[in-house]
Amino acid sequence: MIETQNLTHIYMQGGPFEQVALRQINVKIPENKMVGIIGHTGSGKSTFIQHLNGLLKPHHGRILLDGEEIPKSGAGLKALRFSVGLVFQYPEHQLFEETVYRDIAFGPSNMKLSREEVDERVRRAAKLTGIGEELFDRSPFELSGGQKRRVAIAGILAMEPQVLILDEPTAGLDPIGRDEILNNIVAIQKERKNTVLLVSHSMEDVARTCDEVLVFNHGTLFASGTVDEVFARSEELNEIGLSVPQAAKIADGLRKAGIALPQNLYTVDALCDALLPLLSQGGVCHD
Amino acid sequence: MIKDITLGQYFPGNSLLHRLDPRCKLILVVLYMVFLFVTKNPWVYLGLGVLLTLFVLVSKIPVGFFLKGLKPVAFLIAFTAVFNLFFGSANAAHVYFSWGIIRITDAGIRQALLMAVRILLLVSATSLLTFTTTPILLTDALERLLSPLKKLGVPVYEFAMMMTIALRFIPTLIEEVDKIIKAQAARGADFDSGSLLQRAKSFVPVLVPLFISAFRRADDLATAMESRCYHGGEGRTRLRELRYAKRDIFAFLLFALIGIGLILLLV
Repeated sequence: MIETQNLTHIYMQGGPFEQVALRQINVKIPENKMVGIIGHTGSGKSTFIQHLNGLLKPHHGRILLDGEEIPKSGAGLKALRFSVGLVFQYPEHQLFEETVYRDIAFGPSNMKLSREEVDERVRRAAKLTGIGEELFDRSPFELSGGQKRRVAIAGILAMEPQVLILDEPTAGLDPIGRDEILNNIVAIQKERKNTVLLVSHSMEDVARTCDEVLVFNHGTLFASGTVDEVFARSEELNEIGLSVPQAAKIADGLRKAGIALPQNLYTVDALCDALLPLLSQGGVCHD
Repeated sequence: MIKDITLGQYFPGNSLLHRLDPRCKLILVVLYMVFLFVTKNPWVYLGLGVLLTLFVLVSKIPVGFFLKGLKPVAFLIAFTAVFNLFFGSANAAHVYFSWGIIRITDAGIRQALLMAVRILLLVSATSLLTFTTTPILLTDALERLLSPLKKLGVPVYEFAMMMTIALRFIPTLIEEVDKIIKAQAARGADFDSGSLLQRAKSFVPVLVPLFISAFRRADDLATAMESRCYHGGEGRTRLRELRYAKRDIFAFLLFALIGIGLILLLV
């Protein structure tokens, strides 16, 4: 379990551009859950996740992984990066090897595993992300955008981290590529039963895939809880300029129009399931 | 990390130094460099040091911030000083220490101090220029000052444009390097252990993505400029024309006086 206590981070401390990026973040992230992180650009989401694998150091406060403070340097820090895997935004920009196989193998090779173990992990990660073995000998730079991104994600997955963090894994992809990646991530979480943190701008994606949500606003933790708990506060979310999923907006509107609908309708599927029986009964909304 | 480098950065402000015409500042810095190299008289160096300190105070840049910006060149200064200390021993009157080809002499010590002070003042003066002048103004100034060369067929405007673009992309590329280093560190890349060769090799995962992204950006920029029908120099007007003000004339006069003083001293 990841826990932060009074986590505070300040950019360019002492300079003319000093900026508090994170202010007193106290949060407990449960195990084996899919956790969404939402907030505006500059709300501190990216800064927050970079603390969890020790890329950034807090100016105040502590970060605990399974009850122990995370190491700040040396071999411990390296080991931390293998157990907390972080996939950056546009991860395909980090590809550098001559072949897909070698790029995926970069992470596990740095773990000083045996060659067989590295090979197994590369194949498992490729399978999880839907990369066929026929691509292994291709140059990663010849692939399509969606394929490149999957290779990059496989590069982190191959380290088989205990916690997987993805920073907007679907940014800049077309709708089909986006759905494929999201479905991959959900399947990976189901199969490996690890904790997955998903930073996203899309409320739809968070509602559809996550169990819990953290909401960041201006460097503070604005809300946290289950998807139901957080999206039930739709008015507050609107006030800070974040929306709720479109399905929830429609459900809200219908409720205001006097149609009795259950709570917790945040996904298109759930809304459909609630509306279809009403339609077939006929005559619910006759003006 | 790498983002903390402040050398060459602009420090926003509205001091007298910020408001000086960039052409004036550029000429003054060049003059200052000339002053630094025409003499070996320690009193002149003291004077030039005091002058620079005054300018820093006028610029209202926090002294700590200013000194932090000099940190990256500390190694260069130390290296030059040590090199001169050991080998700059022509015309030595006293030899204090001698071992093989290494000799520490009074002339060497003097030379070492001189070079250290020269580099320190040189770097301070140029970084004061970049701290108080935006890159855009700086290239404007350079273009205007070099414009007589256009008559000789030198593509001054294109050079200025290249410089503007290069300066514009320094922070972008620094950010990019920072991001790539982090991304590779997240995959367990190790940049600071092992032999020199191993360390050099460890930067391949950073350099390859960096070059790819630099080329991609260059390509995008070229397309963007082209699609807006960009074409250079001839007939282009400016939103802000550079004009000399009284304060610039005063600054020139001050430096002219110092120059005359130096010439008198040398003769």
